[in-house]
Amino acid sequence: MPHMDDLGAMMRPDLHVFYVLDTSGSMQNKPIGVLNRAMESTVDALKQVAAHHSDANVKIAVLEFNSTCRWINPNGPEYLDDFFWSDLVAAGKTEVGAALRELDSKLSRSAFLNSMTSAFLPVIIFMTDGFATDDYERELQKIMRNRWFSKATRVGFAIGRNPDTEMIAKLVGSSEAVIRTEDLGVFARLLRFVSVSASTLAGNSHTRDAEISGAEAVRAGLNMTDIDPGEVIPVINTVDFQTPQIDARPGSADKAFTWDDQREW
Amino acid sequence: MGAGLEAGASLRTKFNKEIRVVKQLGDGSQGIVYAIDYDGRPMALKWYRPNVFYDRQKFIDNLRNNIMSGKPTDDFLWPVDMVEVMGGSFGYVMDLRPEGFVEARELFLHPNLFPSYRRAIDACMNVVSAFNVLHSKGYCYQDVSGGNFFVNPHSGQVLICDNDNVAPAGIDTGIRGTPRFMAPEIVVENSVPSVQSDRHSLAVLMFMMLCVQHPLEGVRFTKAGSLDPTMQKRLYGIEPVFIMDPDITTNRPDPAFPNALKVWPCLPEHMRRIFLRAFSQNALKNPNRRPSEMDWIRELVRFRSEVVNCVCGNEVFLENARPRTCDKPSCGRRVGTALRADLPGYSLPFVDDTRIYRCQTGVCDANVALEPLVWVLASRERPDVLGVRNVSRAPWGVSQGASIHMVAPRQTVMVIPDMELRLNEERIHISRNV
Ligand SMILES: [Zn+2]
Repeated sequence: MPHMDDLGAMMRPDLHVFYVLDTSGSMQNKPIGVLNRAMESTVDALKQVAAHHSDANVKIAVLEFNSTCRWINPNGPEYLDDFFWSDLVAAGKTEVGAALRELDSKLSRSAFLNSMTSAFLPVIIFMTDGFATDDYERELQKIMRNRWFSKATRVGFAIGRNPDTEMIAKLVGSSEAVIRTEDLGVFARLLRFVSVSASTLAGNSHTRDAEISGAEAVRAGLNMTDIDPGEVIPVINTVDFQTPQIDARPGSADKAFTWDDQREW
Repeated sequence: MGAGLEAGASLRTKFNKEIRVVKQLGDGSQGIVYAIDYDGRPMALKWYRPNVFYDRQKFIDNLRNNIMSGKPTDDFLWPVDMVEVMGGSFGYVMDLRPEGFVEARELFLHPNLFPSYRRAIDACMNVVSAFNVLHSKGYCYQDVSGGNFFVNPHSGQVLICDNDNVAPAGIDTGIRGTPRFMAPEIVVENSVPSVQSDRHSLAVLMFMMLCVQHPLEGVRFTKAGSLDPTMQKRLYGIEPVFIMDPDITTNRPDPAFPNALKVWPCLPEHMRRIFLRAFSQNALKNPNRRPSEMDWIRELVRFRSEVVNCVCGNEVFLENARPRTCDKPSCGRRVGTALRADLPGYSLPFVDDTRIYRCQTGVCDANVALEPLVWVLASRERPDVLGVRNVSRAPWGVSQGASIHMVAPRQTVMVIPDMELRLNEERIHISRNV
């Protein structure tokens, strides 16, 4: 009988967790500082998940984008044990389309997803604080034909004053898979919790019919905190603005509508 | 909103006991576990997150029933009391996990936490015996997996937790189990878990503990590419194939992950046989063809006493006490024992730490199957001089020729070749192993 020391850990399929992070000029100063620390504590939390995950080998890959895009791990996703966060610097434009093109080229068994075992559908987490400066929709249409992308557990973070929340919702496929917050502290916490919930859910076998949606991961992540979902999940286009049907004759609509007379200029 | 409790928070239980939260111990998907002071005693509280229930009231009713019926054996971290507060949050009180226990799935990642293979067998025996008792009381566990019990790798003792899932067999609580451990019929038809589906999960668990590999995850799994839900449904439900199936060779273990390839050829024939039976196409497709808990216990108690240490330290399995060559490549010594015990049906090496259990001496009830009867011990002065200790609660006899000597509980007598142990209705002959 082989000695217990001669038996390795049980075989586990890989689970790739991708981060696609906006490091454009608008992220300068405090936001990039918060992002760096948030990623550091997220990596730390994922290390703990990975160390005790008997169903998956968790690996991480980070793509930053500004005027160009760059993989922090150019040789492909790394095991959490081997991964240490290095701070990113913010500068340049917000080339979202270029990032999607790059991601598409690597989401394949012959590129970043090659491994000794099979792999679970990946987790992909996007973060931006602004608007794309290129034609991202064309690239989105292309990458949606890649099953590893379209069936992935996708979550988006829209942070800062003026992010393109609708774009993020399109990238992740649903507004319920988006977290919208101006509070950088809330962002940092939720990045960690949602990363943990997404990788725990996606890295367990699921013999049911549907993939794990980003919305499920967001809900599970929020469930680990005391943050009210209503405060961070944006409402996008759920109510179409409609012109009320009113009688067009002057003076005739007065009975149906009232206006605040006391309101100040 | 937040489900958590603050340290120092004070609550009152159903049995009108005062509890105080001491600190958080763990955090899971269903809820948080706290260390508490329960009426002066240190205990644990599992506190549920809101909205994790299929049918909240049914769940609470079932939990209350489990509390009222009491734990099946000491191997269960059973709910003993519950707390319900305004706003709908609730939880249950149970014993704390004692020192030295680790989650079973940690052992899949670090099999060498077991100091010896024998302890891994002990753990299997204890877990299957606990489920034997649970099932015999009419319950079904529904969610047997590596995440639901703790093991003390140094003693082989187990503690089964998450007993809030336990329900009378046939009741639908909405639970379908943990993927990888779920029986094919649940994967395919989403049927209600049963004692028979628990048995599939137990068999998976034992294969994982003893071979450190999943029984259905061979090359069809490693070469699948993307493990999307459709592929997983195929591997675990629609077309499951045992990696050691003698007839279907399309799902052999991937040589890159050789744990099962290393262990399987060393296993005694009877252990290979029960695994082949448990994961045969017949048993995978027909729940009532799966080995029962008693079937497993009988093979495991036999297996545990077939493990003998070679002088090189390697553990060698001596089926029917037959001597064999040590299978550590650098050793090659001949390993055998001077004595063997002839039980009905098979023989065991008779050496230090050989154990004979109640279920090896005739028909018995589920709850006494692993009651110890005989324990073989090497003397302190000379390791080759053995004694047999009565580790049961009643006297039994040893005889040689016509004379019978009664051995009282806790008494130890010296072993003499050709003596007989008289246990219940069985006579076990101690023979020289030439
Ligand atoms: Zn040896």
